[in-house]
Amino acid sequence: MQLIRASLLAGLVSAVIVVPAHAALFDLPLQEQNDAYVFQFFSDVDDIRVTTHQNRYDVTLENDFALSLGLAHQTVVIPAVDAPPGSEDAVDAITTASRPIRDIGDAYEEYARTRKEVQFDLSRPGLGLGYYFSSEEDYLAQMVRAQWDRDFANENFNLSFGASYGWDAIDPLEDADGSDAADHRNTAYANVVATQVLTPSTVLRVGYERFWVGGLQHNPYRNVYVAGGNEIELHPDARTRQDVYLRLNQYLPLRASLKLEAKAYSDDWGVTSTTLGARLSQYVGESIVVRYRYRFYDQSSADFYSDDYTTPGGIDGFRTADYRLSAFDAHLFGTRIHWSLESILGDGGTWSGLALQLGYERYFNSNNFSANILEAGVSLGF
Amino acid sequence: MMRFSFAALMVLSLAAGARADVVREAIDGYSLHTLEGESVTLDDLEGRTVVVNFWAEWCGPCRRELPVLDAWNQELVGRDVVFAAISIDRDAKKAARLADRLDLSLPLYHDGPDDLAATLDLPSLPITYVVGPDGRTVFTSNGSDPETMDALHAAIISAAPRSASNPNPSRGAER
Amino acid sequence: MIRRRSTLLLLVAILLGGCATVKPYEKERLADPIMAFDAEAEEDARELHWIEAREGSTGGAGGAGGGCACN
Repeated sequence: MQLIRASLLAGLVSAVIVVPAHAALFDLPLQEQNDAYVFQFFSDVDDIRVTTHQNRYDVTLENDFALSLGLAHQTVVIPAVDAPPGSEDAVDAITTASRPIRDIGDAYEEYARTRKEVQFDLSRPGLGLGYYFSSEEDYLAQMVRAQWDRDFANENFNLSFGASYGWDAIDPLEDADGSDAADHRNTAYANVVATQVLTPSTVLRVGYERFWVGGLQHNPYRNVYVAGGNEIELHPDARTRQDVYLRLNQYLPLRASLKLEAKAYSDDWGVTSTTLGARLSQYVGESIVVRYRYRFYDQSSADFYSDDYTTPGGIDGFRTADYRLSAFDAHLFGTRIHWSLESILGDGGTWSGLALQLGYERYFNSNNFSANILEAGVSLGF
Repeated sequence: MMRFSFAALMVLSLAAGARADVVREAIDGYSLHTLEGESVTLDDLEGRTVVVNFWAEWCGPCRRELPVLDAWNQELVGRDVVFAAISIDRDAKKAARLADRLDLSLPLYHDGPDDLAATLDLPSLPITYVVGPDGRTVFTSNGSDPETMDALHAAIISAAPRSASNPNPSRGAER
Repeated sequence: MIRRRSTLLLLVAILLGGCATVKPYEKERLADPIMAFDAEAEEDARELHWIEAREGSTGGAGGAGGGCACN
């Protein structure tokens, strides 16, 4: 399994590097190209740190074809349990841990997991196809996607249909009190999106999405306290999810824009949620754009969620220690600066399409969880 | 019945003829600006083929089309044809920056979105009109795909006679 | 509740399809990068990854389209 994963990943990465490097050799006529690298650092109140390196290369080919290649490398570091061995806090941390703990000593060491991701997208006006692959020590995900869209009313109205199918192979690592049985998860997805230009400075987008998820949907390493003991977490193996969203982009005087977003979500596990967001972008001079952002999120709990299960079976045979299935609300504030260096580096030169960006976001919710997200990126259009 | 059909055909022809002159009538003697802001007038068009192109810095297909028109402006130096590429950007400086980046030398003008573009009610962007020596619009192209550009090139060649004397004095970098 | 909201929003979308059109030469502001829906597509995709690890819902980033009447 590991060898197959490594070979597949190596092959895909090679293709990603080979295609642009040998474009001239294969006489692929390239037009506009853009390469963008982003570094993201995430840290939360539990001292979990996530470092992500992501690169995306976009190229326009002849006959309006466009190719996009994406690579990402992510490392998640979960800190060691810092409570004294044998203490109630330590037992609690180990019982409900979402990481593999083969023996008790593992819990007192930092745990790191790595995810590698590759994606391809090929599109031309009206049609797009894509493939996604990601690999972790215990999880291999693949997905194919397709999208069709068409303009109407002199390109004032666009209708788009999209679909994807994902198949994941899950092979849990050895865990003292979890399940290491191999399993799978499949996801089918469909959407329909309508975009309407309302005025010369206003555009509205409305979308509906539906997901059908089947297979393993709980954490195989995590245990739940039930009726004085603890059992492996158990969620239903089927979930139907849907959301409807609205986005309104409005151009404002003095070269600014306001983007508003609202989303309503529900699923057959009983979770419903509302998301409201706003992004305000403002040009500062010709080269700099500053963006401010706020997002509000509110959700209800799953039907089988409880803080205190009184029977081993949980509720309707299901039990969870996943706080994502509890009721809570969350806020996110952020700011970002994008700086185009064209005016400094001069028009037409190799580096004239260089741009830098820096962003910071702060997230916190009513479960006493908070996180800082820092992003830095550089892109080059050529 | 025949009389009615003939009359209908005459009315349609006159209407078509009137419509075909709209572009020439709009641009003849029209006061524009260069990308640097100097006022210029499109004149001396009588008896000449005029290629009028409308573009914008923010329009992707326009950015692909302009270098092709620029090349034709040099290629067709032996023919009596006038090129006029008119930017409808609100800010002429943006148009000028694009022109610098693409190293364009064909005649470039600026008029904004509210005047000539609105008068002609441009149906798309980019759009290029080929106006023949008699003032009638003989070809309209919208788009920068290879097939459209081939057809546009053929239409210009067909409409533009070979020049008996020196080429158009507005050829070359005016900016 | 979600079905009613979905129906209403799709109806709005269909009705809006018959709105008066904005001319191609009037779309400069819509073509500005700060107005693009795609401007945050990569950022939203990155965010969806860590948001899904912290929240119970998903989605909201799909879809494409909307032209500028540039051929």
